[in-house]
Amino acid sequence: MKARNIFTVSSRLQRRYLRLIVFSMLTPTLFVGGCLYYLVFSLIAQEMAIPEFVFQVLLPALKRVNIFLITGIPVIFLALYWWGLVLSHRLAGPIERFNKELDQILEGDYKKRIRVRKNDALRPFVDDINRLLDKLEGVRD
Amino acid sequence: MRKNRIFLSSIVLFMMIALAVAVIRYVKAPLPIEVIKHFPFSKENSLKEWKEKIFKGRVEYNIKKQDHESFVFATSRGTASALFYKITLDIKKRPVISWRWNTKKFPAKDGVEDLKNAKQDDFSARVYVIFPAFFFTNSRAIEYIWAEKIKEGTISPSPYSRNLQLIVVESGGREEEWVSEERDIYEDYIKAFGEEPRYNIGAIAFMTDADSTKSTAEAFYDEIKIGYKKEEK
Repeated sequence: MKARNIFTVSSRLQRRYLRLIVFSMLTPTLFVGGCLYYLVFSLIAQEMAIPEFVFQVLLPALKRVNIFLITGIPVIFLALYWWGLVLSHRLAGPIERFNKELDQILEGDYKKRIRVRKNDALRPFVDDINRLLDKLEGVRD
Repeated sequence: MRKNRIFLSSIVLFMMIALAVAVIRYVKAPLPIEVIKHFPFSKENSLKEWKEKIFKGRVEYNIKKQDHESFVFATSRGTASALFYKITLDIKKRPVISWRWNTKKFPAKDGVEDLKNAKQDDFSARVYVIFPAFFFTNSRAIEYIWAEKIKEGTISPSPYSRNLQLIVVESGGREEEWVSEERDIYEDYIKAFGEEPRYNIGAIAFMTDADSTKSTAEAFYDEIKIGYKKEEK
């Protein structure tokens, strides 16, 4: 069996999964990150209290953190996108293959059986379909 | 006829003098204040309700008694720490702050005193009015300053941020003389920031510091009052 090609978005289904996965990872990451960012700086500013001290010390620290975030957020986004590609391919790939091979059988290639990878979640379901195809072929013969 | 003229002239003169006295008294009269919080610093533990905020070492803030009067005596030896009190006041109700103060020793500054020079950002006495915002970068503050050489009435942003505006309310030494201040915060805010305040007052503070110049500064504070300007009827 060919190695998985995880870096291409081959179907509409994978694109849908990809959007869903990236969104569901990015939203909590940004939300929690944003809350922490606000909470940490607000608490420190509140504790320092005197504006002179806050602007003298905390503002330069905030600027450094912002530079780190500006460079870090695209990297985090790329990492999440890559992981989204891997997951979406794992989810959509077997369904795509199943659809393609089922279409070939429906077009008349009754000898064909549906193949899935060893650890695929669809395997029990595909095995049942293959058994059904075997039985149907026996009846037809 | 002549007597009448003299009589009329004296009445007019008397009325003019009375009017002038009334105007002078009105201008000089303290703002009528509805006091929300008063700090007389009359007890040994008067500073307990103030929170100490240390930045670079501790400034000694002590209650001192002299001639039946008590006040806060602050000494900074190359240090910077402030006393901070949280209080919320509605800016639309025209808050007013008043206090008495005096300086004993100014921090040693080289060259011309400059409010925008971070290396000279030390003052023997300053009183803060703080306007906290949702995120600290938007918070603002007015600092009433007793400078050594800068002219009274000078307004300038702090060397650290435009959100901190320094207002010089006293300048130069006064020896033993205590000076009373009374400030309309709303008006000062507009003068300093050039716009209406967006946030309410969240705290007040006072500080004597000499950390930037690594010298010594000493000042006295007393009778801090904060409240609202009473509406004239």
